[in-house]
Amino acid sequence: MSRVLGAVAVFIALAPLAAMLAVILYLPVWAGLGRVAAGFASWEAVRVVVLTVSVALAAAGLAVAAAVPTAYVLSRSIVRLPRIVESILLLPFGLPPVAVGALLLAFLAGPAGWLERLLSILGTWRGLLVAQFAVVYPIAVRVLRSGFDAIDPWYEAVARSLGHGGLSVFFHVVLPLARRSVATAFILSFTRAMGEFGASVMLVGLSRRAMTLPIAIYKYMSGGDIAAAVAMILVSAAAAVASITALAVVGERGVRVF
Amino acid sequence: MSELVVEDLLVRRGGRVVIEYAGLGLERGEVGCVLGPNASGKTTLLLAIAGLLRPERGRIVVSGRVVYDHDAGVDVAPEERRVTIVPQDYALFPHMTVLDNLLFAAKPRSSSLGEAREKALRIAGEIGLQDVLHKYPRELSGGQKQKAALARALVAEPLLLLLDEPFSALDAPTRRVMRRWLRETLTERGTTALMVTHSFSDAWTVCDSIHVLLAGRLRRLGGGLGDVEALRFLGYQLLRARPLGPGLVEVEGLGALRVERGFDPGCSSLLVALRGDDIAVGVEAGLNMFEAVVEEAVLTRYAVKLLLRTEGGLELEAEAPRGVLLAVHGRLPGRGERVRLHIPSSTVELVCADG
Repeated sequence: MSRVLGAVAVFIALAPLAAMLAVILYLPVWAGLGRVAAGFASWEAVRVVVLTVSVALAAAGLAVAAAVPTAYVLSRSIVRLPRIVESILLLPFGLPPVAVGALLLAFLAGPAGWLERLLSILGTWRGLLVAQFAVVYPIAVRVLRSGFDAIDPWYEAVARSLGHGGLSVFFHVVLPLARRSVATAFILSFTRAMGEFGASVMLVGLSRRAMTLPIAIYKYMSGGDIAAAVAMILVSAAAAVASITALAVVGERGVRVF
Repeated sequence: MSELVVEDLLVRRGGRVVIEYAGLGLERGEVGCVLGPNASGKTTLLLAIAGLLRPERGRIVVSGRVVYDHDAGVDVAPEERRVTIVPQDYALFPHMTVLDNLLFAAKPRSSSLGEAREKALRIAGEIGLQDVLHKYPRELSGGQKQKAALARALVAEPLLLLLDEPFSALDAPTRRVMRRWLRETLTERGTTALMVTHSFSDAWTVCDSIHVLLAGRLRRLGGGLGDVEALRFLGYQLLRARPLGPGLVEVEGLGALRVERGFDPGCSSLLVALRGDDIAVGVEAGLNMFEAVVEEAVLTRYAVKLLLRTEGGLELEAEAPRGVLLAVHGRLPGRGERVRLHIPSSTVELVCADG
C-alpha cells in the first residue's frame, strides 16, 4: 500500500515537471527548428542575452552589497528599528513587480526628476538596473538576514574579547561564516533579476535599446515571431537550470563544511 | 594587588534582574570560581565583566583600570578591556584552522604578522597543539578543542581570563584530565581567571576561591570558612562541631574527626560540611572510621542512598554508586544493618557560623 502511495506521490511531483520538459523540447519542433536556430544566431538575440545577463549580474551584486549591512543591522538589532520599518524595507517582495515599476516611474517622474535628468534612467539599461534592484533587494535582505541569524553570536563576542573591533569582527568572522548565505542571496537575486519583467517594462517599455529576455519573449510572441520567442525561452530555461544547479551546489557544500 | 574588582553590580536581561549587588575580587594569579545552578546568571556575570553586556549599575576594575563605572559614565569597549572569554562550546572559528584561530587572536597585540605568528607558534608549543595546527575545529577531539580555545584566549595576552563551564562538553575521563591540565596551565602562567560552573568538583579541583551565585547574589566560600546557606545549596550536610586542636574537631553525635582544612580556633559555632558521596560505606581506613545503623536504603538503578544513624544519634546521608558498594561491601546493606563508614579528611569542609 505504501509503495502505491509512494508511486502516486512521485507521479504528482514529477508529472508537471515532465509536462514542462516535454513542452520545452516540443517548442522548437513546433516553431520550426531552422527558424529557432536562426533566432539564436541573430545579433539581436546575442545583444539581448548579453544585456540580460550583465544587468542581472550588476543588479544582484548591488542588491547583495546593499543588503549585507542592512540584514546584519536587522539581525543583530544594532539599531532598534520598529518592526514596521523592516516590513517597509521588504515591501517590494510582496508587491506585484508591475506595481513596483509604477511606483518607481512615478518617483522618477516626480520628486526624483532631477535624478532622471542627471542619469537618463527611463528607457535605458539603467532603468533595467533600477527596476531589477528594487525587485531583488528584499530577496537578498531576507536570505542574508536568515544567514546572519543562524550565526552563533558567541563567535562575535569571543572575537571582540580577543581585541578585535566591530569592523574587523565583521570582515574576518561574520562575513566568512555567512559566505554561503551571501552566495545563495546572489544566485537567487540573479535568477530573479534574469526573469524580471513587470517593473522593467514600466521603466524601459518595449524599446529595442533595453530589451531583456522576458521583454523580448513578450515582444516576439505578441508580434507573432514565435521562433525568435522560442529561442529566447530556451535561453531563459538554460539560465534557470544553471542557477538552480548552482544553488544546489552551494547547499551541498554547506552540509559538508559544518 | 587586585586584578579584578566587581562592585555592586546590577544586570537585567529581558526586563528581569539576573544579578544584583554582586561583588567579587580576585588577586593577581588567582583562579576564582562562581558556582551556581543552571540559569542562575553565571554567564551573564562573565558577559558583563567582558563588556559584552551593559550592567545597569556598579563598577568593574581590571588590573587597576576602571572598565565600567555607571556613576562616572565609564564603559570601555570589550576589545579594549583585555578580558578574554572562553565560552562553553569554545566557539573556535569554524572557517579557520587552529593556527589561524591563534593568529587571529595574536594580531591585535602584535606589531607585525611575523610577531603574531611567533606568539601563536610559541603558545601552540606550550599547550601541545603542534600536531593539530593545520586542522579545522571540526576535526579536533573535545580535549583538543578545549586546549585550542584556551591557547587562543592566552595568546591574546589577557589581563583576565573568563571561562564559561569549560568542562561541560567533555566526557568524564577527559574531564578529569583536563581539570588537572587547566589548573597547572593557569598556575604556571600566573593567569588570573574567573571560571563559572555548576559542578562542585570542577570548582573544587581548579579554583583557589569559590563564590556561589544564589538568587543573583554572590557569596564567597573558601579557606575553610564559608557561608552556611551556600553550602546547603551545594548539597552539604551541616553537622555541629567544636574544635579539639589543630586538624581535629569533635562532631556532635559522631566523635573526633580529623580535618585538613584550617579553621578559626575561636569560632564558637563551628559546622562540619559533608557531602553524601564523600562518605565511604564499607571502606576500611586508618583514620575517621565510624559505625552506624542503616535506617533506610534507597536503591536506584546506579546508586544506593543510605540514611544512617550513629550511636550518638546523628543522622547522616551517604550515597555510593551501586557497583562500588557491591565491590567493597560484598552486597547491598539492608535496613537495620550495622555498617562501617569512612569520612576522608580531605573532603571535609568547615564553616564558622558565628554572626
